[in-house]
Amino acid sequence: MAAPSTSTLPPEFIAEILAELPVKSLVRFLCVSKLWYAMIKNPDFIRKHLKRSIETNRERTLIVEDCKRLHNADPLFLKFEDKNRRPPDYYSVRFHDDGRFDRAVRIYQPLRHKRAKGTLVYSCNGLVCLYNMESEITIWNPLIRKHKKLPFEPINVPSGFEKDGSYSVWNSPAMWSELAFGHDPVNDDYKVVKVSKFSNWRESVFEVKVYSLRSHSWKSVRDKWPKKDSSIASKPAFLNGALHWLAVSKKRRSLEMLIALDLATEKFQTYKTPFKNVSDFSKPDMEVLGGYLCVCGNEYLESGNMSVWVMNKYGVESSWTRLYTILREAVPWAFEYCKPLVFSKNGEKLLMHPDFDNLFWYDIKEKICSKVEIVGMPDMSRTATCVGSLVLLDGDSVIDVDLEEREPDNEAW
Amino acid sequence: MSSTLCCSFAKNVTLRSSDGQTFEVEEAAAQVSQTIKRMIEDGCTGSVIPVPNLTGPVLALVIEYFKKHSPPSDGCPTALLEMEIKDWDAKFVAVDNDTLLDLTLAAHYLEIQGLLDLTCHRVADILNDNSVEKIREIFHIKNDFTPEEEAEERSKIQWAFE
Repeated sequence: MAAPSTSTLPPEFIAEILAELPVKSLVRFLCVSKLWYAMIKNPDFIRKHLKRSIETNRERTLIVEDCKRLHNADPLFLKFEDKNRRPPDYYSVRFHDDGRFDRAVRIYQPLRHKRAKGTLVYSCNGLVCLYNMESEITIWNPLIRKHKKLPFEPINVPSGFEKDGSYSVWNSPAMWSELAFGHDPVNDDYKVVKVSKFSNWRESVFEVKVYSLRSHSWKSVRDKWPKKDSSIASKPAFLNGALHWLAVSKKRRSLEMLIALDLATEKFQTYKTPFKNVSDFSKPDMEVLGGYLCVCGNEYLESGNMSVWVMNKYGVESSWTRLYTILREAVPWAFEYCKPLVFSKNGEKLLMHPDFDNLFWYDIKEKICSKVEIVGMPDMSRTATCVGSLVLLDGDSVIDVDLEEREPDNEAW
Repeated sequence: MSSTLCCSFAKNVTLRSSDGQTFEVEEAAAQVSQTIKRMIEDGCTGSVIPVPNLTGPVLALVIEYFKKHSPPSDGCPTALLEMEIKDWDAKFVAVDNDTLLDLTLAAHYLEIQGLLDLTCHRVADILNDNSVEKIREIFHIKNDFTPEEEAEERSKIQWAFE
């Protein structure tokens, strides 16, 4: 038996131990003492904690956008045009290394514009980028209920590319704009990239702007978009401090180009892909899986099998290999595209999210699939994967809708 | 080969705690601590090795850990032995909170990585399971927030207490 003790652990020691804890506990421990408050908010601590989360897949959570919540709403209560222009609901679903999923929990999202449909863009280091039709963009840490709204940045249509009459910011046929989100590891900064393409009957020009969380401001990327005669054919994929897009060459209709933007240097780079013909794939998209860049798509329309190709060595064009094929007959549900989310812990199964349907595990070796049952799961449109992260701990709090609705609301709808 | 190693290693060292208690332990076992290992290599073996940061009872516990974790004389540890040690470790840190803190500090001062990982894990579990008030009590932390400051801080993060 040890003698009575009043031992206190030295602060650097406590920080070491706190780095092992989930975010909810750490947010609660801000109240323990001023020292603990300062320790938990320290940027070095937040980095260390995040590194541990990524290493151990701690608090891995799916953030799910509910795409059909209005289907069950009272139709008399809604104007027709409001139907798809309300902020969607979001849910979080914790999933564990052993393949278990917790019940889906409704969460509050930060963009509460009454008439604006919001959309998840991408997730990185526990943060999710979210935008809506009112051109509001925010970086959101759903697990600690914090966010940081980006300042509004107008799109400056270059002369010669103006459209007659009014145009909608996101859907103009002569203008197209897309967001991407990632982490600049050199400056430990989070960046949102907006790629806009303006076309008239003669030519196309690209404008690329980048928002930095550190400076909380936008600026233009000086390096030129590398392929003027191309269009983006995929979602952005973030890996190794760079964003990546598949580009379709207009002239040859080929998917031959991978365009990368290094978030630290803000310079573009292009890589060849083995996909010569655009009809090799139906609906190809880019994903990041197990730390590799992947191109997924339904190969050859007849068979409909879905293939996943990986760039085995990052940046090495000759290293593209077909990782596996999901046999169409193995999946009893119809889907156009199926997003691979994560590998199971032993690497034998892949968690898949078919568009507008529930998740399933695909056993790569046995080529069979099994549906994932999650209590309270909504019909999903988009998903993002998060880990426990304290980044944005100093951001703005996400207000509960319940709190907000208690305030007088003059806007009748 | 292993038999010659075995025979050459019957040496003991003496460790002295802050309150003057002395303990004799096999040199090979004591070298589980990187700090003691360095002192032995620097030629401290002839005399008594002082361990001024540890009281007798804590040093006695640490020596129990040394004995369990000293490299096996016959070479490779077996899977069965590893499992037995894991079990033993779990029981070893199932102690009262003050003893746990003492062991954590001892592992830190004596650079015993295995024990440090073990105790830190246990401390993390205790932290995760307890309220803010209880944590202050266990870790002897003075709450230096004013009641107003604390109330304000709590109101901002109410969800974390649910």
